Amino acid sequence: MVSGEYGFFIDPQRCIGCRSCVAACAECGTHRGHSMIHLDEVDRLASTQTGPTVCMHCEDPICAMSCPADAIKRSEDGVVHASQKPRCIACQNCELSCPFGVPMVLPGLEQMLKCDLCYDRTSLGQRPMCATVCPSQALLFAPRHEVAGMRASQPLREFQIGSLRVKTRNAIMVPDPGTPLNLDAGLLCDGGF
Amino acid sequence: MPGWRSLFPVDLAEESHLSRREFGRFMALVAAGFTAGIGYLQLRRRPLNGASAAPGAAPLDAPAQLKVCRAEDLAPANSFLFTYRDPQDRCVLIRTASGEWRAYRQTCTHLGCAVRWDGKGLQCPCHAGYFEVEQGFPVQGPPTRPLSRLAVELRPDGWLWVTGELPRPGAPEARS
Repeated sequence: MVSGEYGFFIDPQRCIGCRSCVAACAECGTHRGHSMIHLDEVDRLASTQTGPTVCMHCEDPICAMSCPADAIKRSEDGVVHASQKPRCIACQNCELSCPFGVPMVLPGLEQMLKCDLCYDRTSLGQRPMCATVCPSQALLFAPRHEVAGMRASQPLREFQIGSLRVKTRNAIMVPDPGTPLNLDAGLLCDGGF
Repeated sequence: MPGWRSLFPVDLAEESHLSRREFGRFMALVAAGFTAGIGYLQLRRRPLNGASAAPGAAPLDAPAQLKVCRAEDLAPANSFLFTYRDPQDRCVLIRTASGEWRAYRQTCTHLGCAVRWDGKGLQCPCHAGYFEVEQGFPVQGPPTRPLSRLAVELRPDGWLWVTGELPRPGAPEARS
């Protein structure tokens, strides 16, 4: 069981796009050989900014809500796990419903896999693979009370996606965490994408 | 939250397969169902699979006494099939080689196949069970209990009547 004191913090401002996390994720024992991290280049022509996307582990996991096979479960510590192999029917509902675009139904495997916070490690008190290798600490697994004093940015765990308010276990570090971060894709489209 | 969601909880901890209380409730319901079923069968007072019920426990719509056939119509070592309490209660009336009358239910006491008269005894074709004709005791094969035997009466008008069920005899002296 992952200690509730520890949180996972994603700071895109610190990401240098080295892809160490992508490589390390594929080493995780629960999904060995498959990396569960998406590393996105935000606007490659204009910026070197990159952003890692890992599962946010929602308090009301939409992927699990949309799963018709009851294959996605959340453990007591708030970690939303990858689908259970005997149940998953690879329908991709979770892929379509996740507001962060995290779950992946792997071709050939016919099963949804996603970040499970390296449960084999974090349940024993170790850090997830990605957090151990990230050179700029853009991915950080640390006690929540320590993070506030470590960074200028502060953790945000509440997001507004359309009419949906999503609270998560993992946090994104933002300069001004006062209001829920609006992740409406429609706004991005209007902005010129 | 829709009602069905409680049956398919997202949280792993709530997904218990069966709690002790649920198991106890299930077992109590099953026991109550069996008790009710046995009580119903007892009230219905019909023999199962033609097995012998207590004498005098015939249902009201079944005759306790039945005129079967004329005595002279049945030659020695021959049999006559009839139904007794209802159309499913199949029985066989036998005139033995020595001229005595016997009537048995055709239900084999092993698994309920119909036994048939082969001229010397009653044979069950399913598992090669064999019953002697004097009292219906099993002498071969898997059956361990005697056949259900009916009382036969030859009346002065020459008709053979089945007048009821005989109690099952105890284990024969020869069989130990």
